[in-house]
Amino acid sequence: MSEASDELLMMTVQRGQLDALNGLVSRYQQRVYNYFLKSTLDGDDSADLTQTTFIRVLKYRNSYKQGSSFETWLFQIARNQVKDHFKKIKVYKDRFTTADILPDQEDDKDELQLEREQTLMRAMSQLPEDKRELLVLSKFQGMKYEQIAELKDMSVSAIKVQVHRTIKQLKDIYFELENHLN
Amino acid sequence: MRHITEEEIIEFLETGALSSELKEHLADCESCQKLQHEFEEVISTMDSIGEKKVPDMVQLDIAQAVAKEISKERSRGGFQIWQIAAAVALLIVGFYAGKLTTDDRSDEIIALQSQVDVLKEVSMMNTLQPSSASERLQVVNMIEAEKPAYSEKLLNSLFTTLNTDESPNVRYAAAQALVRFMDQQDVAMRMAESLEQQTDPLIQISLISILMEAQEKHAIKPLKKLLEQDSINTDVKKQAKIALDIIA
Ligand SMILES: [Zn+2]
Repeated sequence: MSEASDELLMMTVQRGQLDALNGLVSRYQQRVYNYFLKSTLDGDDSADLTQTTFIRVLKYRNSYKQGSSFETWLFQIARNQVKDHFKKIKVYKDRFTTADILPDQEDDKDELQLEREQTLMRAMSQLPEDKRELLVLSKFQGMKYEQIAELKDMSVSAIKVQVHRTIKQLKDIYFELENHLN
Repeated sequence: MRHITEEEIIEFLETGALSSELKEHLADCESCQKLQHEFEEVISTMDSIGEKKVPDMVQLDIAQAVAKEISKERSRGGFQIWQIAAAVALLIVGFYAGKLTTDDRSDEIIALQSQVDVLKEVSMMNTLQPSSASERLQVVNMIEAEKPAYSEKLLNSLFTTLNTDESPNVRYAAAQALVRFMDQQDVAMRMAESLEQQTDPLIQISLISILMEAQEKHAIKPLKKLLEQDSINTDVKKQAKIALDIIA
């Protein structure tokens, strides 16, 4: 059963085989952790939030509906956590360190590329939380507009308009920062 | 001829869609090209940023927190129906004691009802909440955890549960509890028969896996039948195909 689908593992958890959760943790912890990193821009908070997310999967296992996408349900839980997080803490826009957020330095990445990535994350940090979330989900988590629409309970066309608008906004901030640096 | 809008450029970069007129314009217009390159830089940078690996310490913390929560959940489940659990545990302990000392006594205890029957009686006496499925589940889980020795009665009650219990959770737990008895005569065959009756995908898969491991020839017919069904769950189908390859 090594190739069991996420949905099947989740059903197994629901049936009381709670250890099946470990399989879902190893499949999803990196994605969830990076979702939190790019949303909250804080490494420690992201570690805590990732942990809490999987605990909630266990606690609320009976609210998972059979036949629905596990991934969407998981990110529903994760999103709510980000919302709660921002009720408590406001991001200090310039205080985050890009090293906490960006992957560890790869040797084959050139200076210029690295600078661009850092500038991009700075620009991301200046977006309003809900707008940043749209880009985190669509660009970094690679979710389709349909899936984000389901997650946010909005129409696909509305999501697309918002994502495009946010990309424009991001582009303006990005080049403002880049010109400022040069 | 007008310039391309930002919206059109984003759409173009995302989907490749752009009217031939605007494509021609783009080929000649420097300001539109500049805009295109700016968006390209932002979008390609977003695409190139990878994921950070979860630090080992963080992974360890997550694993520990999850393990702790799992054991907490388990004890919580048991506590809710502690009266019944205690009654059944007593029986199982008695069963063991009998097994270990004299065969006469063990026969006596086996002659008592099966654990599942006992549960029904206990729950009737207690007239607690009607949460009988979770109570039955608790008992079957307990049978699996306590690992009582083989007895025809226990086996029969597990099969009855597997084939007839109204709750899929209880049926699933019964399948898991039966794994231990696979080396007993006819158990694998009875499981293959049971596979034909099951409709819940998780139970189907768990039976298929068990039968595959046992290389049970009697499973071939129900497996083939399963694969003929149009409405079959894709996970079940995958597992059934693998099992057929191995057994047949
Ligand atoms: Zn132009």
